[in-house]
Amino acid sequence: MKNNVMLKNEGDKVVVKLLGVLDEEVTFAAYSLNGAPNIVFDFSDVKGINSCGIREWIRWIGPHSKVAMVYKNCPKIIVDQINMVDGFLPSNGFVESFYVPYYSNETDEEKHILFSYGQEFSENGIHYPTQVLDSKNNPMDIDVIESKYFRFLQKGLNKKVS
Amino acid sequence: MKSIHLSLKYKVMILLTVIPLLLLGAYLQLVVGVFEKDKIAYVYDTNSSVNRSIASQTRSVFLTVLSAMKPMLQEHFTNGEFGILSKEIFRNDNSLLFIGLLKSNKGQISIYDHIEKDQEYYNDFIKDLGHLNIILGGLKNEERTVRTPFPNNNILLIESVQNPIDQSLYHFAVIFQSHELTDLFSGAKSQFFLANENGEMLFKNSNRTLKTNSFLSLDNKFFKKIKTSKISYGTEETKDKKTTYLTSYNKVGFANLMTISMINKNAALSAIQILVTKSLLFAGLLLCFALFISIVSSQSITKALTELMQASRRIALGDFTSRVKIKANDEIGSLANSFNLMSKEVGRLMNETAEKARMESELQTARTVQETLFPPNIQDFDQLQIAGHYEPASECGGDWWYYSKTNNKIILCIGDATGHGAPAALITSAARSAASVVETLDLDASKIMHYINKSIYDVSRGRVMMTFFLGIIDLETSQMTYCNASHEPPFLIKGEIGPNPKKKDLIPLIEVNNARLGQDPNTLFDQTQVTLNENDFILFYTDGIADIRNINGVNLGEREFIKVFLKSLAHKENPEIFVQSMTSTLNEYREQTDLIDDVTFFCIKYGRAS
Repeated sequence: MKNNVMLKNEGDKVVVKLLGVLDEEVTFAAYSLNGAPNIVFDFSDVKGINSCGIREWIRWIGPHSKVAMVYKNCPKIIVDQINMVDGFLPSNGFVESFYVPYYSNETDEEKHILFSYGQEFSENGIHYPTQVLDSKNNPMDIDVIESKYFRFLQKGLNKKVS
Repeated sequence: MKSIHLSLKYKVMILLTVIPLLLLGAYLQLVVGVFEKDKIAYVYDTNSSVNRSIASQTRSVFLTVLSAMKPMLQEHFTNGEFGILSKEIFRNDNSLLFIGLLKSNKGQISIYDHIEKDQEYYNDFIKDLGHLNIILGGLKNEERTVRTPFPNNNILLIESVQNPIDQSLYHFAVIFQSHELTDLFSGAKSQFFLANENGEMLFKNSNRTLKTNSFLSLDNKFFKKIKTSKISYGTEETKDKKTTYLTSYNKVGFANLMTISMINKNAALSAIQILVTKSLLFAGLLLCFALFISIVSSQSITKALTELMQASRRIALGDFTSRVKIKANDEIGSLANSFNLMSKEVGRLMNETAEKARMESELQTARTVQETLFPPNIQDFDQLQIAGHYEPASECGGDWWYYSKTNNKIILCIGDATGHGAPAALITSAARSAASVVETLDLDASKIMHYINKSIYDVSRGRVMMTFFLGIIDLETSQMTYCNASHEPPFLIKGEIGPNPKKKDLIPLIEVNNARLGQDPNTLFDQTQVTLNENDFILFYTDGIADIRNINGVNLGEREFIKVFLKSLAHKENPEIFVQSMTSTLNEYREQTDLIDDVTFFCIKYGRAS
């Protein structure tokens, strides 16, 4: 049995740290979310997710539709699922921060810039960083199809829950 | 099967018997050698020591006799006869039997004067006078010789002396008896001899095996050597015709006498013969014991091995239930245990292999059946060209793509069931069945999605889901109505874009999105429309493309996928070539590495073929 989940109580919220590859071997059901008024999911250490992992995830968080859920430090693979899979980010969920991949055609470097709510994005739209540079000060390009990657922001799926 | 030439049983027997015998033989040889040397050294040492002692006693006896004679000789030289003093000394000394003064005249010895205790001794002396002529002829002044010519061990001592008055040479002869010398040399237990300068045995034990009276007849070289040797004592091994002796000698220091001891070497080393005999007896017993042990042990070993061999043959013939019953707690027992485990495991693996072969056969059948779910890879609907590619990660896949034309409407769909393999393939079958029914009905996209969703949910009960994209192109209106159930949004490339489109030219169809098929039977699917123009191009795909790995285990990823796509768009005028280009580039990256997920994509080009 893989241990992909770490739960920690911090005041009135439960912080859930997710680790590794979320697939058919992950056992979300072993971790009860009952009674938590607020849940913060930290995806910073997630390395991958497949269709079985997505199914298990939706089964896990689906019943907690009344609980405010915050997604933070979402890597690209999670943002892709948020955009693509209906229900991956529930209606009571809010993406607080996520990574945006940048790429330098000159040096082949990759960078993942953290976009945080209130800074790089808000209800008013996306506020791109002025310039992301590689190690040789070349400007780096955003490495996604923006309309697809930022769909969850543009289609109003990311609503801050008070 | 290889035949057995020399059974292990006999090998063990040989090993257990030959090795102890060889070791015992080597040990015996070593011990006998050491023992023999030690024994010989002991014999030499002891006999030399005793020889010295006996020689000393012998010399003392003769010197005592000679010192008693000196006054008698002096009296005779003074008075011309043995006077009162001589006769008194002679009478008082019981050991003296005869005293004579001999004189040589023209080579003939005659008795000049004598005293005897008994006429018998005089007669004996006279009888041997001829022999004395030879002996005394070579005797110089003050030289002595000793003989024992008499049967009763009486001793004849002769010393040549010069008369100081007339300077003539006399031979002073004394016959005396010495119990001391008789006891020393002629005793039953004595093994010593007294020899004179000619090698004659003056005293010897009549019980000894040495039958001769002269050492000259025994070993001439030896006696000559010690006679001329200036070394007063020594040891040497001597031989006669049949016997070897351990001989030691010691010069007495009187009248060239010497004491000699001769020990029969075989007799001296008889203890070794006993040792050898006992050792051979022990070796025989050891051999019998070793044979017995080797027979018992080799039988127990070979019996177990024979049983193992027979069981192996049964396994070779396909009887995997074959087991051996060996209760030994040694290596053979362990081997038997391992054999039984191996036999059991081989049987299990054979069953598994048979089961796997059966399942593979069934999966192959399922794959063949599943292939019927897919439409032809290439289709030209005059106003729309389609080309596609599908490759499952295993025998059966969870991806599915499909198209059909009803009247002026063309239905396009692509889906990806949760996971892959047989369970996912069954869901694609359910989707295909539902599509077959609804494609004949004039339903809008959301309704079709509804029915397919219900069909999948009924089949999987929420355990397996499917992402799904459905598009319906109305050839009259050039409108494509589409729904998306959480599937990768297709990319639209407008026809006016040249042959080298950029990433920004890709339009993902993301306007609507709903839950996956099979997740909730009551899902209502949104639909939207997009207008297609001449030469518009759409790529439908599953996420398996980005998951393709190269031989280093590196995923293709979205960036490279987009690059491959954009590169292949050079052929967007011809969907078939486009698909060939995409497939070829992906295969180059993959280099025959196994797929992680099913790979499915198809494209359409709207408008008439160019």
